[in-house]
Amino acid sequence: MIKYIAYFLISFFLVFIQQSLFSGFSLLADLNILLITIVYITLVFGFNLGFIFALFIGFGIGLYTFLPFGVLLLIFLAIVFLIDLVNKYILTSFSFFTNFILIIGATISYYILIIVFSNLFFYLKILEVNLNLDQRFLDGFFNQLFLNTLLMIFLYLISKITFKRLNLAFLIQNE
Amino acid sequence: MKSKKKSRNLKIVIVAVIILLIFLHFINVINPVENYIFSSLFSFQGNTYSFFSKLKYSFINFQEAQKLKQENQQLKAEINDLLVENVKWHNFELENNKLREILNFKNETNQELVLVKVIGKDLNKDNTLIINQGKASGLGVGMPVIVGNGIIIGKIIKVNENNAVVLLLTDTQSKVAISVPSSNKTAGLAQGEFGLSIKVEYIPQDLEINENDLIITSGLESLIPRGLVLGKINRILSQENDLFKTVSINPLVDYTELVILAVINNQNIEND
Repeated sequence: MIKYIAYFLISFFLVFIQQSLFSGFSLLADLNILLITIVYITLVFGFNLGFIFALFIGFGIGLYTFLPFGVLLLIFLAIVFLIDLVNKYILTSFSFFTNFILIIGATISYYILIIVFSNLFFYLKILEVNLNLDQRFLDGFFNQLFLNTLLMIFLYLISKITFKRLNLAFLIQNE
Repeated sequence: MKSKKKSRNLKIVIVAVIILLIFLHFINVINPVENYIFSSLFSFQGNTYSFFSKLKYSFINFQEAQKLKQENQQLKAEINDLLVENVKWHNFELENNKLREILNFKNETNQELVLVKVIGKDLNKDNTLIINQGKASGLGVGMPVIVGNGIIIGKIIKVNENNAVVLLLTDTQSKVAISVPSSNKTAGLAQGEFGLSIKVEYIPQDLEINENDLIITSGLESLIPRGLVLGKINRILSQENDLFKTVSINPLVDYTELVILAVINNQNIEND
């Protein structure tokens, strides 16, 4: 029980950082630490923990977005399923390449799902406004792709060093 | 007996030598020897004195250096504290000024205002702000959000129980009916331009407008009262033969530095 409370608190702390700290900086505003956390946890610690974090983070961020509550939760859960599927059947090793491809795939999936849901709810008249699919949106997408990949690579390198030092190689699946 | 005599003789000799030396000193006979001895001694004395002085001073210096270091650290800590305090007071001053402006606006216009603070931005949509009040404070979708003396910065697009999402006027999907102070009628429609500025379209050609004129809300929308300032005309974009005039306006506030805002809640007034 205590560990779930800890997961919940960590998730809300990340939401808080993303929402109130990073959003104030022009460059960091595009860095999606919530998505990176979910991808990284699913990749390193497995589907179950990724699912729990997606649930808590999706719940938290759902309170601070123009999208209806629950949409981001569904998007994060879908990404966990996707990452787990790809990691189980296609990119099975914990390598630089796997991390690189998965974070790019996750960011693209995230954007596609956001666009689909935003348009869907806008045309269903549930949303007052839709996403502006303009140059700024495209810039934001590429910024996020770049920053997410950069942070994921950094996390990968840290993990490699840490796991080797602590003899936790068993955490790195199928290496 | 013999040894006693020997000892006495020795004493006599010593006293005699001393007396002789004193005598020789006074008649300046042993001066060269004295000088040589003293010069050697001076050098040694000087070195010894200097060494012990240095030792003493370095000890004092060390003590003083420690004291100064400690004092320096204390002063640095104090400076840091003062800097933090200064920033805090500066923030208080800014906050105070903003609150005073909002209070003045409230007194002048008798609008019902809800004070809100910006707590972040939407991760997925540009040109939005998240504010710290929601349904619990009576806020609703479409309510105008203002800053200072009635400068409108956006509208609420989504309300949760304890927070709300505000769409800034500079967003492409933001639309507000506008007027100019000299006219009572609605004079056009303001729409955001790529998050940077605001464009006003559908201004009748016969309406006299110039650069630097103020653009205000027309009051056409039920929740947005007339007279809220959008900004100043920056450029007139249309030609004389166009059907309507189009102008570009510059917001009067920097939308990236918004902290304290107010939401005009006219719903209660209308319901009353």
